[in-house]
Amino acid sequence: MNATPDTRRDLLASRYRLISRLADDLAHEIKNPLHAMVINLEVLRRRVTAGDPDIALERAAVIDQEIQRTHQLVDLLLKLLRPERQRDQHAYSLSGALEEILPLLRLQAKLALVPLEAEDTDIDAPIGVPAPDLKFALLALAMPMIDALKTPRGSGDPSPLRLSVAHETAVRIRLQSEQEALPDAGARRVARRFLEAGGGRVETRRAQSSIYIVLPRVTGA
Amino acid sequence: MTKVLIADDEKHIVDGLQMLLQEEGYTVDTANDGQKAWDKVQSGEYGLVLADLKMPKMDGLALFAQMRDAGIDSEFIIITGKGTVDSAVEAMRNGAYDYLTKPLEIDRLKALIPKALEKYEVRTANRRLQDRLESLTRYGDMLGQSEEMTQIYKMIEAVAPSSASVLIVGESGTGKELVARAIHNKSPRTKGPFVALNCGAFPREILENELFGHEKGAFTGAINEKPGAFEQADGGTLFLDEVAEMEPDIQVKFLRALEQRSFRRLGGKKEISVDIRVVAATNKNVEEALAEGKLRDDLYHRLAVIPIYLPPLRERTGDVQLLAEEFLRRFADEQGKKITGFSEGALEFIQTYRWPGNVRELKNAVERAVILAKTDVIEVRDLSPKRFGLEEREVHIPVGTSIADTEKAITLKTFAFTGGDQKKTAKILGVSEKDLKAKLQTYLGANATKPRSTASK
Repeated sequence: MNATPDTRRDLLASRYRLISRLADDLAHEIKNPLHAMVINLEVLRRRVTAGDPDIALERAAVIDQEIQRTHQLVDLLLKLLRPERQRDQHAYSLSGALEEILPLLRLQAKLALVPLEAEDTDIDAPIGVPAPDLKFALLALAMPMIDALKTPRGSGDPSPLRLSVAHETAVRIRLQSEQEALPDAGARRVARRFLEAGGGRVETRRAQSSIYIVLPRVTGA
Repeated sequence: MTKVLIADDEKHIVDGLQMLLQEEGYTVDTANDGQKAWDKVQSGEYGLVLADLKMPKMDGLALFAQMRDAGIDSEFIIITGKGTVDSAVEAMRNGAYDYLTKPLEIDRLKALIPKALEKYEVRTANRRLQDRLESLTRYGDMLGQSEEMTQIYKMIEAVAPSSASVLIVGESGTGKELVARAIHNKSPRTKGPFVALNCGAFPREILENELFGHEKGAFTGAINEKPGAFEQADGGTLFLDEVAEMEPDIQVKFLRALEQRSFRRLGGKKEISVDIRVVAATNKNVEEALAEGKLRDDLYHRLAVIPIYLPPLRERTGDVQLLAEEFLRRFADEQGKKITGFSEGALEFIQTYRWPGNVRELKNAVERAVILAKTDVIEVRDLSPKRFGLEEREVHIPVGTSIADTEKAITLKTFAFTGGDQKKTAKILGVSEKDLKAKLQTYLGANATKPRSTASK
């Protein structure tokens, strides 16, 4: 990233803000599988005492699944807190970046009770923007959209946020929802700063109620 | 059994909780989002809703608010991550029973659920009772479905379980003793005695004796010991009517006995302890009785722990017809008469007359009408004291009237009733015509030959 010290400071501050919020949400989300484990462990204990192995085994399997879920959440948290460790692994891979971003977006959407619809997110392509920067750019745009779609008191049916990926002359990641939910200039500027060193940009299409992250196609990577 | 609804979008949590609660003996239902929970709670069959704060379609807080808006009063426990405790606390401020944080403390959950359900059941039972009271036409021996009487029934239900003293204030004939009996019958003392004493019916010395009893030889004629009302009511209720008629020095003794729940018989040295509840009544204006010193302040405050104002019949307009019809059924049955009801005119009279003697007067009027009725319908003439000429036949002589004034009142009223017929008047009064003439001349002077339309006392 050829950035001035000021830009770097701004990027770090933006990243810190996003990490702080996501880490907080993730830490609390971990309580859900723990909650499920505590309940099912109690059932397991009682069923074992009562000599009911079928239910006991069934509950043990549930606890196992919840342990896996906890593990995944902790993993996500670690990746979020220490993104530099992933630089080598999926440094410039679109699917690698999306693999990390989607669970985070899903969590945000779940907490806000906003449906998230993702399409064609398994497309893989080499990209010119480092995966962690793409991740923060996408989060910087998507999170305010989720917040804007949230309904008061969590009732009613909020409009969904749609995320789709197209790979033509460039890789285009589209976030689409209601026009009013489109991110403001501040959020777009933050996203742009994460992308610009790698040649990426942000495009707003108000008529389509969409905002795009456009990444130059990298050939021969 | 009251049902519990678990609302959570996490299947493992819902299934596990359902198994746990069913094992604890609860009937459990589940919903995997806020909207489905809302659809279910509208049936009103859940005593408790255990809801996650974060759920799709409708979160726990929105579900709770919607339930309260719709008047669904199931108890509500919110399960929340620590980051959202503020919201849960807000829900509690709005009436949610409690909140639980994740991960769950099973013991806390086990302790909370029965308490929440008990609260719901007590409230539901109370509401059922309120509904029942509001639809009642009869309560104990009382009859009435007016708002005023419904409030009295509710008051009786509320005060009966305690042992607090009650002061019933109401005009004569409003049924103060019936209220006292209802309080006794609804109380835990119902198996104990109900002893009623009319303080206005006895002179001072006798009242003291009636209240506290006496030892053998306490006074001339006390050949045996006699327990008073206080002792007779031990374990039950002592009802003292016309309590403001009690002489001040008896009031002092009564107050002491009331406060200490112990007393001495007349001529006795031994303190006798009793367990009684006192229900007192007066037809006097309490403010005036206090101001005039007829009722001691301290006794009043001791008695009026729970004051009950029993409205006169004229303030219970909705009840007059109900009461009249009940009395009609009762007396027609007693008299073996086939009377189908009241004529329109009679009903109008019943509803517009002020009934100064209250329910007692209405009851007597209907009884009289049943006896006098010549057809199967009660007419106004059967009921109206004025139309029936009863007012002209009656002489009101208050306590304290001298013998001379009493004689004058009776003589003049009888003279008026006979239409000035001296011979008839003398016959009715049982005096000679000569004596009557002399009296009339004294009372009326030159007009002695004419009756006065309204006799003086």
